[in-house]
Amino acid sequence: MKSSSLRGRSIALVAFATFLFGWGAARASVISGVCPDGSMFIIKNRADIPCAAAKLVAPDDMPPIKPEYLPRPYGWQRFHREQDPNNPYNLLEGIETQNAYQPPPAPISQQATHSEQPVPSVSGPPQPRARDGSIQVSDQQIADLIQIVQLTQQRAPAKLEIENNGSPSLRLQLAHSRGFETQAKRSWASRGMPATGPVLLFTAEAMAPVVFHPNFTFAQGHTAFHADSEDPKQFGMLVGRPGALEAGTTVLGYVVLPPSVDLAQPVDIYWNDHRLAVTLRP
Amino acid sequence: MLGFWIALLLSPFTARTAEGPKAFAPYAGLEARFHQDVNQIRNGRHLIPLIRDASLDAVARAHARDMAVRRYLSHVNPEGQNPLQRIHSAGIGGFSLAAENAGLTDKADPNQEILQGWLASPLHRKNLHAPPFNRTGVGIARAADGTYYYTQLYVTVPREPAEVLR
Repeated sequence: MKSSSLRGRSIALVAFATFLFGWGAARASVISGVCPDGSMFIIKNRADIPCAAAKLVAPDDMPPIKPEYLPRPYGWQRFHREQDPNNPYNLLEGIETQNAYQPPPAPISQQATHSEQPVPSVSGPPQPRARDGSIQVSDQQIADLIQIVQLTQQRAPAKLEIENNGSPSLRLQLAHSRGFETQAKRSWASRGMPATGPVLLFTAEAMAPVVFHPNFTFAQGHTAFHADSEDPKQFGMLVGRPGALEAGTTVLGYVVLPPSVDLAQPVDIYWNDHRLAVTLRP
Repeated sequence: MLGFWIALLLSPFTARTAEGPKAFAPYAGLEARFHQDVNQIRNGRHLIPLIRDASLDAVARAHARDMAVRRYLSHVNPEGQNPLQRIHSAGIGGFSLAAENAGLTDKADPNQEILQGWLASPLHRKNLHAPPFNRTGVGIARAADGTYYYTQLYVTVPREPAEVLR
């Protein structure tokens, strides 16, 4: 027992010495610091400092470059910050959520054409705008994306109306937006999570109190795919959360399909066992 | 020894509609509890329940019994029939998606052994957790040495939209 303990200590000491040696060598060969805009740099030559009035900071004083990748403390701290009712940013966000999603009035010609499809207002509890792996979108962008989903229905209808006791309770609409797909893929790639498959947007509009869970399945040819709602690279909510929705509430989310899915070909979309045969890019 | 698990990937297909044959079911109680346990798991994930279908039960039982008698574990029987072909042969139809899980165990609580084994396997779990399935057939058989053979079929009888708004 004793010899085992001593052996363990000697291994730990050797490892620690190696670490110090490596750290000292790295420290001597790099220049690190922070620019006035908050960006950080680690360079070899002073001439490569990317900004004026840079503040040189020792590497061990540098903040983590991507703190959201740290497993616990940062996420925990951020979770509390986002849940804190006394945090003024949360209060502001709540007001924005309730008020800011009224889309601007459409031009008169457009109103005449699409008057039967008003863009729904989005309400609900304050939502964090981005989680790890999810896409950061502005309030204006959310209103735009909802409108894109609605307008796309004219070209590529992918709309499912679920009834409960004979009256409509839930309206699901899906659409492909190249712009959002590009933004999403760029965002994931920048976080080291490249995605190659098509990205679909969906809205779920509650016309009566209803429970909505994103139980989507996509079938094309002899393959079927259902997104894992716990994997942000397969599924994410941009507005709202799955669960009980009050009447008039609209949630917006995305689903990432496998690269093999060709949107120019017919796809069977299932929500639970409700099926819809569509071509999303006719 | 937990056993081996085999899953068939989701595969869209179309079939005919017919009544299935009546089947001898010596492990009906075990099958009923297994079905309840599967639905409990699905309910916990906000998935629609699987309704037992007598025709699918018959196909699943026949395959479980065949595996137990001829001592093999596979989706494809020695005659080369896969689950879809067995379902078709039984004249069952109206489905758009289908899958099958199979397994064997000689443990004392076979239902839990099989279910935990399937949940631990990504492919089997995928079938258990697939949102569109709404019908199932459960078949359990026991070999001469006491080993239990399980087959569960999952299918989707699609509900077409009440109204597709255009």
